[in-house]
Amino acid sequence: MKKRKYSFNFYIGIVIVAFLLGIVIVSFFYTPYTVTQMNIGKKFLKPCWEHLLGTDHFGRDILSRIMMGSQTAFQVGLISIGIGLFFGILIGSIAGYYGGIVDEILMRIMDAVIAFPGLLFALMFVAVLGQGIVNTMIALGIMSIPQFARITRSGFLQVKPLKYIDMAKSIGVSNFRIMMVHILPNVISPLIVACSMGFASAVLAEAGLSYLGLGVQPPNPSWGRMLSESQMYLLKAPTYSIVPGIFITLSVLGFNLLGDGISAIRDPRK
Amino acid sequence: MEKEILLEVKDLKKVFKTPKSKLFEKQSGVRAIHEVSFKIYKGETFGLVGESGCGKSTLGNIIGGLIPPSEGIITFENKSISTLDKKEAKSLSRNIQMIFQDPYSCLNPRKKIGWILEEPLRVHHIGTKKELRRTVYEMLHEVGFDKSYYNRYPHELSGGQRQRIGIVCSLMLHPKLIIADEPVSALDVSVQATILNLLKDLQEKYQLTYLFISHDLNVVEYMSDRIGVMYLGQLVELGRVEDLYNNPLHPYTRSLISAVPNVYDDKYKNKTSLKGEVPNAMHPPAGCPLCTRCPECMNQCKTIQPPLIEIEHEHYVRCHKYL
Repeated sequence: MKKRKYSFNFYIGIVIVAFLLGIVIVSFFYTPYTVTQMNIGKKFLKPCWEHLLGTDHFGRDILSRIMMGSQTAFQVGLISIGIGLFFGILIGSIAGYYGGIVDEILMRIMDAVIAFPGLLFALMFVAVLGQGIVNTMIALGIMSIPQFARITRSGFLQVKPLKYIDMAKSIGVSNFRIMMVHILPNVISPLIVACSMGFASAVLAEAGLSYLGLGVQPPNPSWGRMLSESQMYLLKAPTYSIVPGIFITLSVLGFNLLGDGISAIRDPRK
Repeated sequence: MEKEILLEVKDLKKVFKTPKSKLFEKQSGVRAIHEVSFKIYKGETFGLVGESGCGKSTLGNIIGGLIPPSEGIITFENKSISTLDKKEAKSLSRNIQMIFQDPYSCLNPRKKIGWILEEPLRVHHIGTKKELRRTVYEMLHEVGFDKSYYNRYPHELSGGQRQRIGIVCSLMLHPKLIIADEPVSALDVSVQATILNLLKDLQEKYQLTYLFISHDLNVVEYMSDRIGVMYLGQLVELGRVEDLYNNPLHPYTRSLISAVPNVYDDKYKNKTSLKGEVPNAMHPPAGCPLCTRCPECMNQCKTIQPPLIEIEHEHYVRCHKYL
């Protein structure tokens, strides 16, 4: 086996993602304080030993809320990407495999979805169907379908004319099995990259929606929501707004670098 | 002795429609196969030769069920292929298998050899996991591989090895007819011989029938019992190997055979070489397909299509000269 050269980006990305993932896992078992526990007497504390990242306007521990917020971010990222990936692969593989009029119709629908600005669509979706994290995830998921569909389709177009697909057909393999078992494993690597990048944008979009008050509902913590609540106290307690901002930036950066790194490894020309 | 007919093709036609570039344009098509009829007997090797683009691979793909014919009837063991329902079609796919030209793209690069070979059996629900594995080991042994190849990936094998795996894969279901579409033309000569001999050995052992497609006349002569010569989508001559090589009737066959490099050059002293290019299959000539290049072209050749007629026993030709 050839030794693979990993890029610098890949290492940084993996360190950041591992760090965030660690926070998520720890938050399931332990947070320094209960996230909804208020203590008016201790509001707007500066970082100290008792509260490592200080407290917010209700005296809640910011570190605990950041930790719980990371759960929300990952949940939204995973589920919306999951929705996008599932339907994207389904639509993309059918379009790429059958071609012709089926392809034309499906991809034009995808074009129509792309034509909507993502956040605007999510806003509309949430406004019509109600606020909350579930609708946010569905809306973000729908918006990410086209990119996965396009990547899958282009992969299918490359693999489909190869002889081993003809061979599978002459053996009598069903169309569905050819699509999912014979072709899909050959087009999976660009999809992994897209997942990583898509994850970052989903985290960002969730933060944006929560910032606008449409995503996660109080008192549940979310990074975007913390940002919007903290902006009134920007001068009084700067750490309150800086910390969630850093975490949003960090996760977007981490996943983008990771995706970049993976695509560099997968590209044999580099 | 009456030989048993395994496959019969009658008046097969295939037209590939070209995509329309204008909205109200009359759709034109490429005539890939035109009025091809022949029979393949059980246990024989039927060779199909012709230059590239003459439609021989298309014919193989149609019989293999990869593309539907435009017109015509294909009967396999006295059953018409086109009227089969889904279940029968699946059992038919067990009986007709294909071997492809390019050994580098005929194996899925993401799957292990063992998986690739098990796939035909898995799809047709034959045997348990353990039995599958054992059958694969046996078949690997058959073509000279040891067990370690079960866990290898295609990129670890050479071209000849891959082609052998491709052959094994087509044999897994014990088919009756194997369509070998230029199985050796991508391999170098020393490997070609091994593969051809392997095909012959397997034919004897499993009573296989081959439809052997190639543009290499020497290979076809070595492999086949009967040969069909194709030109521009038509079968121009059909006969047993001895008849065809010793007494080629059609001008095209003659020039084809005389074009083979030969050590004994005096054998075909009067070389009949063709001039010009193959006409565009989108606008084939009205009469005999060869009439634009034939040295013996007559007046009726240009307008009337000659029928396929039997000149001597089992030797058919499609030419006005013999009418």
